[in-house]
Amino acid sequence: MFELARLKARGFRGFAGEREFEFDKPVVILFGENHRGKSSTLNAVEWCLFGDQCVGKKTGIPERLDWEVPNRHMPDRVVAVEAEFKSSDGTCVVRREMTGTGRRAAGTVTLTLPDGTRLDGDDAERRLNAVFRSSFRDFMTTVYQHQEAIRAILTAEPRERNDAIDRLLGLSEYRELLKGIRAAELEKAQRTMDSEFEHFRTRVKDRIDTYEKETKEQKSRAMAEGIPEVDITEEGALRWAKKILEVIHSLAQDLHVADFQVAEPHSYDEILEFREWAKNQTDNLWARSPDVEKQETLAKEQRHLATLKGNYEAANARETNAQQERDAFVRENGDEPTLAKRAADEQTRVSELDEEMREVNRRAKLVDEAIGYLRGAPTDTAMQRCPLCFNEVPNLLAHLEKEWEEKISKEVAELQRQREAHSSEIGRLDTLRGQLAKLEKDLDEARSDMKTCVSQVASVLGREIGKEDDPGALMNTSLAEIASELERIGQAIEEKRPRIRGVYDQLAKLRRIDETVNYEKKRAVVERLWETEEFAALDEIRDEAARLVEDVQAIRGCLAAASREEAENKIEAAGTALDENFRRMTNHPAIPGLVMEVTEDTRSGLNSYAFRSKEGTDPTRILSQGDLNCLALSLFLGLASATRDTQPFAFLMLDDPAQSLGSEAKQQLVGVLEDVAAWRKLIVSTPDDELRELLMANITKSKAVYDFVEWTKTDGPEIVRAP
Amino acid sequence: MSYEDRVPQQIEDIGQQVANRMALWEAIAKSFEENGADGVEDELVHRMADVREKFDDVLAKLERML
Repeated sequence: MFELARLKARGFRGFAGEREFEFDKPVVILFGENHRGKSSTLNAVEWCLFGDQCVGKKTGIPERLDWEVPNRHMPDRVVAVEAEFKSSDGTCVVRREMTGTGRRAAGTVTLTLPDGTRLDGDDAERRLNAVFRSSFRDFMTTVYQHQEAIRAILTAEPRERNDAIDRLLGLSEYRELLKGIRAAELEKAQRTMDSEFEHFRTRVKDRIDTYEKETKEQKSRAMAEGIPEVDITEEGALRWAKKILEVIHSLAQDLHVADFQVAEPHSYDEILEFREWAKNQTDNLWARSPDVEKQETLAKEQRHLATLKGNYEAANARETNAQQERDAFVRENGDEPTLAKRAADEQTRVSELDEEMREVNRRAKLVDEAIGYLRGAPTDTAMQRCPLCFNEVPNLLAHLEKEWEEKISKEVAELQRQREAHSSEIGRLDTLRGQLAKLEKDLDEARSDMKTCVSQVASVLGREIGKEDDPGALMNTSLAEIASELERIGQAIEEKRPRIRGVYDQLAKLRRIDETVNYEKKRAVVERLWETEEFAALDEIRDEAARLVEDVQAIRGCLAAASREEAENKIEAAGTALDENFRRMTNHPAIPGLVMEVTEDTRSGLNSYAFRSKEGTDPTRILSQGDLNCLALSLFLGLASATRDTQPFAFLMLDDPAQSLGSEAKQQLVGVLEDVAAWRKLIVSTPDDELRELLMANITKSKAVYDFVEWTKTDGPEIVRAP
Repeated sequence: MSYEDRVPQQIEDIGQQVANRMALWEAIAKSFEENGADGVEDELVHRMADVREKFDDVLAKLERML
């Protein structure tokens, strides 16, 4: 058996610089306030032995999730823990180191055996298992009492308490395995698949019903349309196709269509293609028959000629109007030469008047100057002498003033009036000439349009049209001939139309047969789905899912049974010590003894623990927090006691065992530990002064105390070994 | 004895589908060792997802035949 003799820790969790502990007394007390490194000391022993096994979610311990091994305040993040174990064969030294964090973390382990052999890496790990013969699970249930295990059992929630007891019994892994299986929700996934399968089955059934209904309806319609029931089959469809083909062929001959292509269907699969071909062929035959072609040509010609006739009549009316307007204008105002001559005459008269005006003006100027002269004449004699001819004229000034007043001014006014009248007439004649020019132009255009139209009529009628011909009458004659021909052709076509209608009617019936048969075929295909390889494969896949669920359920049952079996074994092994320790620690008057039982929670498959007193009563409701603390300790110490002869480690580590105990219970606990100290070295961590004093006073084995005085980020715990 | 020993023993004791269930258990135990409860969940979900994928493929083929 191995005793813990020495521990060195550096950079591990609460530790910064290296600290060393010697466990050289039967009882070692780690004392100090919380968060000063006591638990880190005990955890360091565990980590040194088991490394990654005691870290992370796989431990099933909630506190070990995101558990940081390196001290987060140490810049180098280098961890080194060395533990020395003594046995009768000598000393084994385990040294575990780690650098980096997270995925970059790298660890090494070294084991030095009593004979000095030094092993590293995987060899060291393998030899560790062989030498100590203990798993992490066994270690935490029988060697190291985690303070969290007591804390967890104090909960009032039954599920969490069951979880805590599983943990105390080292059964957390079962619980985690069952949790993982439950979370996969395989039954739900299987139910979803079954539901989808059933939905598909229903859809198939619905589809069969739909096709069946459609078949019946189509068949009923077909028979109502005169199709014999015997023809509503694939063979019947082929017979109808053959008949239709013969009718189309005959029609083609009657319509004188030479390049007729025959496409007879040889199997039912070709019926759809035949129907399309026959429809197109019939449409083409009809469109290409000589009568129909002639009818279309004549109808086109008729439309064209009618349009041309309309154009001709419009052009004719326009020319007539232009001619009439122009003639009326000439009658009223004269033609262009007449208007031009009148304008020239007027212009000549204006020129003559201008000359007369100039003559009068010259005379007027002389009279005016003479009047001015005479008015300024210095003497009467001078006033009687004409300044132009120098003759003496009595009353010359008066005579000249009278002439100016009565003759010259009136003559000038009359000349001006005449000139204005002639100028105005010239303007009017110019306007008339412009109007006449416009009328002449309109007439020319109307004549040109008419000429073009007549040319077109000649082209359409295919003959020359002379001046003696009436294009309108010629067109009327032609239109009458076309209408007569169209009527004749129309009658001929009407005689053939029933045959074409017959073909279309036959084709419609063939389509009805085809659709009815198709619905029957679709129904048959869907009905055969159940016999397909795919359906068989689907059944097999569903079986595979069911097998997986069944196998997982079986494994889940095995896990539950194994967990319960192990729990029962451990409880049985710890039973006597559990009861005795519990009675001693609680000294509960109402609970003379305690029996622990395990059953399976049928819903979850997890262990469910129940307690009863030895008298058979249920003590759960009267168990205090302190009682539950005692229960956890009793269970741990009971398990440790049960394995005392087979256990490889000769020491127990208790972390804060008295966290919910009263003074009396603490005393009782120390009494129990006094007994345990007889067969195991004890390492007890506590922040409790009272427990420390009780241990110091009542444990009869020699003791050492490590005081965790202070803790700082940079230096970790300051530890003093009490003398 | 731990779960690694007890569960196979239980499977043997039941005596049905031993080979299949033992193989499945080994896969579950391995996933658990590697990634805890999440690993077990992932392993089983993955297995069912494989079945589901085949189911969807075949069902899609049958749907097309409808």
